[in-house]
Amino acid sequence: MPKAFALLINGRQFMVAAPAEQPLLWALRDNLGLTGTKFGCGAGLCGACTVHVDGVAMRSCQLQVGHLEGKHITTIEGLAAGSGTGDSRTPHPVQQVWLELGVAQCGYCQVGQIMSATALLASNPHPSDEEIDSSMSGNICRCGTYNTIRKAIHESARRMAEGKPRHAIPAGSGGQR
Amino acid sequence: MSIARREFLAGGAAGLLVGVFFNAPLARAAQLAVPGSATPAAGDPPTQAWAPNAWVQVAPNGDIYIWVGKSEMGQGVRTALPQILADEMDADWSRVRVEQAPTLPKFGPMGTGGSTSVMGSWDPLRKAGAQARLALIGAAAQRWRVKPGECSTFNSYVIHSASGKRLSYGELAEEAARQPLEESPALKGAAQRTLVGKSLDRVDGPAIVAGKAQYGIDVRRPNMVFAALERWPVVEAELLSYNDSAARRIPGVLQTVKLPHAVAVIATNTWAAFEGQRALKVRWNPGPRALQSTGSIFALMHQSVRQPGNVARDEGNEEGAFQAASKKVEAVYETPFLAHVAMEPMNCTAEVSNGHCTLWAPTQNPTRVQMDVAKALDISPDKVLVNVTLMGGGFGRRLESDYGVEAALVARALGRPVQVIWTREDDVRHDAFRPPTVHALRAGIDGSGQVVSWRHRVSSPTPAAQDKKHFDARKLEGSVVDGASDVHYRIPAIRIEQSTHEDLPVRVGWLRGVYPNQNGFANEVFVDELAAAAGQDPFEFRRGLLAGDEPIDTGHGKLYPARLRRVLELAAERAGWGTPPPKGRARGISCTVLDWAHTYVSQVAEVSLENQLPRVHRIVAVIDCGTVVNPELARMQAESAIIFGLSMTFDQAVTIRNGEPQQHNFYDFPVLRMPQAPLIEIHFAPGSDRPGGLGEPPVAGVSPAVFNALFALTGKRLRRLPITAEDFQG
Repeated sequence: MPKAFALLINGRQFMVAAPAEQPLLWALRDNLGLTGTKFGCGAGLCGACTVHVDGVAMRSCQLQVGHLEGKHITTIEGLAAGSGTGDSRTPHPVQQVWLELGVAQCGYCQVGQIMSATALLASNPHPSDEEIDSSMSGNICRCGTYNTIRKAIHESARRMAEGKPRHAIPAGSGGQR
Repeated sequence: MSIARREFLAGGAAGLLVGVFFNAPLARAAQLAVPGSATPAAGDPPTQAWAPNAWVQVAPNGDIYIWVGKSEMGQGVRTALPQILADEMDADWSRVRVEQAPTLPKFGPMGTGGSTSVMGSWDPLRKAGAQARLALIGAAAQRWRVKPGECSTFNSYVIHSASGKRLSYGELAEEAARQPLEESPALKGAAQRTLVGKSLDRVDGPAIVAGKAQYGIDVRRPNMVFAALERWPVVEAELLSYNDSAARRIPGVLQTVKLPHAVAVIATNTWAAFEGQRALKVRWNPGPRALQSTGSIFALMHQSVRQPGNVARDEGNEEGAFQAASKKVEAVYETPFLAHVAMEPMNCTAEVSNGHCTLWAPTQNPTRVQMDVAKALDISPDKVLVNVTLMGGGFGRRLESDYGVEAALVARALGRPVQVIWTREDDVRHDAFRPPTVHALRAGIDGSGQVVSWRHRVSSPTPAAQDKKHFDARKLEGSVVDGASDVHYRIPAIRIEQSTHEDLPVRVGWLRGVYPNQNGFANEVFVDELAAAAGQDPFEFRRGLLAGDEPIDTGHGKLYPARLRRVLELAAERAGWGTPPPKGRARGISCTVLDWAHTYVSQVAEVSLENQLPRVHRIVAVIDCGTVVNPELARMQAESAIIFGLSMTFDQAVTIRNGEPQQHNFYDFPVLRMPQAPLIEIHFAPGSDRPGGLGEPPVAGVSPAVFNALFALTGKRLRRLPITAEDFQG
């Protein structure tokens, strides 16, 4: 019988009964119902399954649950709460910018893109284009939102430096840009 | 486009809708929506809501439910289509709730492809909105005892300005239900539109960034299990036997199920199903198709273009004009098999009980899934309900029904809900590949540099050969010459010929842009070769071939050279054509028309070689797709098509050995990544009020613009897709 592993996910502890070598991705999606993290390749090539492990962006399809006890894991579901506002419905500034710039097309890869972008900005608050390209090169987007992602990371950096996430679209504007 | 594809698209356009069912978590995600935005519906409309037609319902509280009959895969239909209807209805956009239509008779046949969603929905959705608006006016006029002509509408209110009275749509819904519907309502002109033309936010945006958007892979049903399938290695291989003892020892694996072409491993979670699939030992008799390889398939195509084919177009005396020409140019081009690799691997969730089948399918083709599942289960189509989820990309792969049929078969065998999920390797190996092509072109140029003749022979194993019961290779198959027979230049003698082959070891299917991608590639590189042979500038040369304002009749439609000339000139101007490019770089140009999408595109690519590897720095595209419903979504859709075209330009090819595809995952079938993404500048130059299509048209011109730019840079003429590292080494 598989043993149960104590995983610390989004600030809460979960017991996951699974073989030690089961990838974190499937523990999140199938054991815990956290389907925000996506499956894209199963080989660490596309970045759709990116999560934070102790603050570092990692591919959850390549992490085995048996090696993760004691680590702090953050998924997209915990990103908003981790923004320090205390209100889990208040998006992370990166999510907010993603929304305002309308980055997503089909949106399937965007959770992974947002997790990579937030980890990048946490370690490098003002990345250059080249630094963005290099740290985002592991995240594939088949819709081709790359140029908008670059723009959104620069805008997020600016917004986070100001320290005050704001709603750029005022009420009553009809949601138009 | 093949007849089959055209018919399907026409059907889809007549009654078009998109559908996705959202449940409670998504409703909460909708709370993230910015003020004033339409939102995904959190549930079905209240039963007392008034439904003047299948597409819109008005609830007494003022919520307006708009049903979408097209599938959302990132192109923005769940925003743009409601936008069209809401505009004509003068509805308050912030009260719009977007619903996804399932396969119910009232929504008609549904399919999403061929860049038809906006152009095909334009008339029916405007009519639906106008009907609703007029009925609401009628109800208010009756209550106020005034003439309907004295009333106007604004933002979900009917207003009688003479008396200052107004009533909300919600207040009027019940009475409007008793009003007759106007069969031919007057529609707004461009100046009266309030929502069309505005960059309204994508309705699913908040759910997407919160990780709460529901794709097919996210569907969860009570008591559901997961399945992975080991499918035939070659089309029509025979399953001889299999041993599942190792698979069944894997924790979480429950059982295996044998299907005609596959063995399914059923498990309590996805990973156990994948591990079980790997542990299966299946013996196949690969059959005669396993004798084929990429080399043998291309040899057949090359052989075919050396001889006459089925004639698709024949104007003037091509043979005579070519023989008499002072310069003769001939060239052969090749394009490869391609996989679609949508980000969300194929999957489908199905339940079969009491003779009914319910599916949750990330599909572009709900009606086809419904029909094919009904056939496979031997039940009538009205016993099959397909709920359409959001899709992590489609690109034509999700026009197929295979993922739905096998999920239904497994669900029936199990008697419980199952999600069949494909590994990426399954997704690549068992794709319905974009078919390869070989093109032989020849043209004659006279002493003054005029093109006097044009012949294009194209050979390709078309998907239409699989789709048709009585396919006859000796008869003209239109899909293959789509983009060839409608060549957009004015040339006095034109001959277009086609050939195709059947019985491939792999399936082939439709990929974003279909044959106009390959034919457009051949056309636009060849025209560049002609310009070089004539000693003329490639931009000016094309301009000369687009002279005159009379439409060109291609035999199945009209092309407007003036519209193409205009985007060509604008692209050249915006890209700085004629001015020196930055040091070490060169520019290439292309212009293409997707005639059935009524869209005209010109692109300029700016390239360099870095360490003997080509690099694209910038692409300028000017697009005339008529009225643009949502400029920001349209711009992103055009960028998407260009990035898609760039992925096809570099390194992408599926090869076949002993009948089996040789690619597996993103390491051997690469897609463009962020560091390779060039600066992209999109400009819209509408040349008609009626919208055309946009999802596909910009794809075709990307590869030729890049090829032509590389020729301008190096003098080396490439004629085969994709460009690989070897092309510029040594």
